[in-house]
Amino acid sequence: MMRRMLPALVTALALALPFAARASAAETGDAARGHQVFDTRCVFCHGEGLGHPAWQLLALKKGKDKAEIVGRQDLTPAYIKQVVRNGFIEMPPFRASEISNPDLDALTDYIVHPDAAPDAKP
Amino acid sequence: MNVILPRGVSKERFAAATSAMRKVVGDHWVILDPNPLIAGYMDTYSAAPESSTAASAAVCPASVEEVQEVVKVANQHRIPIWSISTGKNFAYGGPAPRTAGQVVLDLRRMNRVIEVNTDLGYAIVEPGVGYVDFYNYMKRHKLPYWIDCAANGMGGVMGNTLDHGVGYTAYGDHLLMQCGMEVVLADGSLMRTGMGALPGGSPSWPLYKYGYGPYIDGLFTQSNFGVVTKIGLWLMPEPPAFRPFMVQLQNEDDLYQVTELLRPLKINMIIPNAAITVHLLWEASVWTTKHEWKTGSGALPPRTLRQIAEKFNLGMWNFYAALYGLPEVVEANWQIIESTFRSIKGAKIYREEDRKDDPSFNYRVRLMRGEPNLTEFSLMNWVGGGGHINFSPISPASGADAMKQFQMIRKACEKFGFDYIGEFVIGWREQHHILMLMFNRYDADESRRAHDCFAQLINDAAAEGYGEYRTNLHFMDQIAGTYGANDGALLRMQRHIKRALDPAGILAPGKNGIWPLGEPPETNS
Repeated sequence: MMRRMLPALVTALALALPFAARASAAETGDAARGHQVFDTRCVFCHGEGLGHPAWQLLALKKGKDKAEIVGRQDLTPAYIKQVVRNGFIEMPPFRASEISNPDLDALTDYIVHPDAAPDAKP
Repeated sequence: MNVILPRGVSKERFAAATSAMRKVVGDHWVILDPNPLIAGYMDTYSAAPESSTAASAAVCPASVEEVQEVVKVANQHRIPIWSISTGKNFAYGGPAPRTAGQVVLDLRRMNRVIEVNTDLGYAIVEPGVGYVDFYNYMKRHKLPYWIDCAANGMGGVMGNTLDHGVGYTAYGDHLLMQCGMEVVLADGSLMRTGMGALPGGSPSWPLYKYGYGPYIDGLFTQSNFGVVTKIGLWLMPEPPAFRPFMVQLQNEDDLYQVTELLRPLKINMIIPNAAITVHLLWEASVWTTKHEWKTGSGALPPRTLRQIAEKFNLGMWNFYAALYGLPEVVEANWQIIESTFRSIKGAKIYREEDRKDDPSFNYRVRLMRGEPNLTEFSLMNWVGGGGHINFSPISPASGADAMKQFQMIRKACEKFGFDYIGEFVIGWREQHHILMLMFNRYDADESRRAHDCFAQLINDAAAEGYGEYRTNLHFMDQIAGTYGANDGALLRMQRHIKRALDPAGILAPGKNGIWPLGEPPETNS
């Protein structure tokens, strides 16, 4: 039953780690690689608009301005990694065998610094 | 902290086994409870507690040779191992094993597309190749073939095929399009089926299914007789013309007529793909959530269903299919399609260009051309909380059976306080009825009701002569029991095979009701 308590724990973790405390780009990896990981593992739910379930739900719960996670300024690397590895309510967890630790670093870097990746979103 | 162990295995034996497995795959790729990474092997969507299927460890080999060595270690130490490919078999258990403590053999790192032959139109893939990976591979190499994917684009080519999954192109019956298999047996030996058994290999391995002697590939699907490490599959040539369409039906009773009209089109292969008749709420979830229409539990009333249909320009049923082939042939068959479905009173026929901005039609179109996506996960937003299990009985492709199942299943859903969210996937002559039972898994009462509803549905369906084609971990024994004709002869034979091929009972104990010692352990959920 541990995981059914997770949303509250994850939220608490997010609040406990201010954005300013996030790791630097050098520590979290390569945004270009992160962009690739996002486009092969995340975009199907977290792309923009209806038809992308995570966008749909975040738009309902937090508003459209926060529905797209790439470039959101309130997400910390620690929080992103926690959610990816453990899942979060509707979102399934992603294992190290499918998103390696270096790829997760890069993904995190892309989400918080999309402007550093080639073909980055504006 | 108490760590999870396989049933009946001491800490010492477990430690010896996992230590030996580390030597095979490397320290990094043996993940032991309570390492936080073990959370990735939880079944996060079922109605039963996650603890009931929590793995004790995961082992992630990168090659066939490593799989062989891990299986040998498991055999030596009598450790149960549950193999997964991509581990995204959501609604059916995801990456989790049948019972708590089993070690997950995670094959996701074996993710090579070994070969795509463009002359003969086949591919050979490893277990960890996901649909997105496969699709991207085909695009990257500009290959003139389509893949066929499940609605869950995160799923895997091999895992879905081995679980008898379906897709939506003309190659939607995945096992039908599978040819050639490589299997690691429980003693660690390696076997290739069909023509692959010829010494030195045969170019016909992925071309001719039957080889010589008994045809056995099916034995390694929905079973625990071996660990499949490669499959061949046939690929659909990219068609010169593709015409997807939607028939919007205004009344729930139209299910009867659309199914009757469809059957001859399927049998005669006018419609070659896995056509689907989808109930309103399945499609509506792409646009809206239940909370926007109702607070509290219970199914939505008919009046609200009408309002939703009207607001989003959806039918009470929405039928989707596609035509493929030469433009002239597609055009000729289109005349048949139009004249056939216009005979349904009030039916509206739409083509792709008619609903360009419709995300629910759009994702169906993408699936019918083998383009992975995850739009169907919008269903998880319907009630929120992520819980979903699929009840999926088979029946003849007839209007009478479709209506009977629809009414039976909706009645049970409403009794337990759930909306009916279902679709019929029509094959050549039969139909898979898929109920997407959605519930809030953070609500204990709702989870319990979902579990009870599912269990009742199995019995209701069996009483009417319907069996399920695939199921969630927690219902494998119950459903195996419904295939019990002739005093359980089928399951008895499966268990004989199990004992012959895997005498130590290490491979996926309990998969689809096949237990090494015959009966399930008493403490199983």
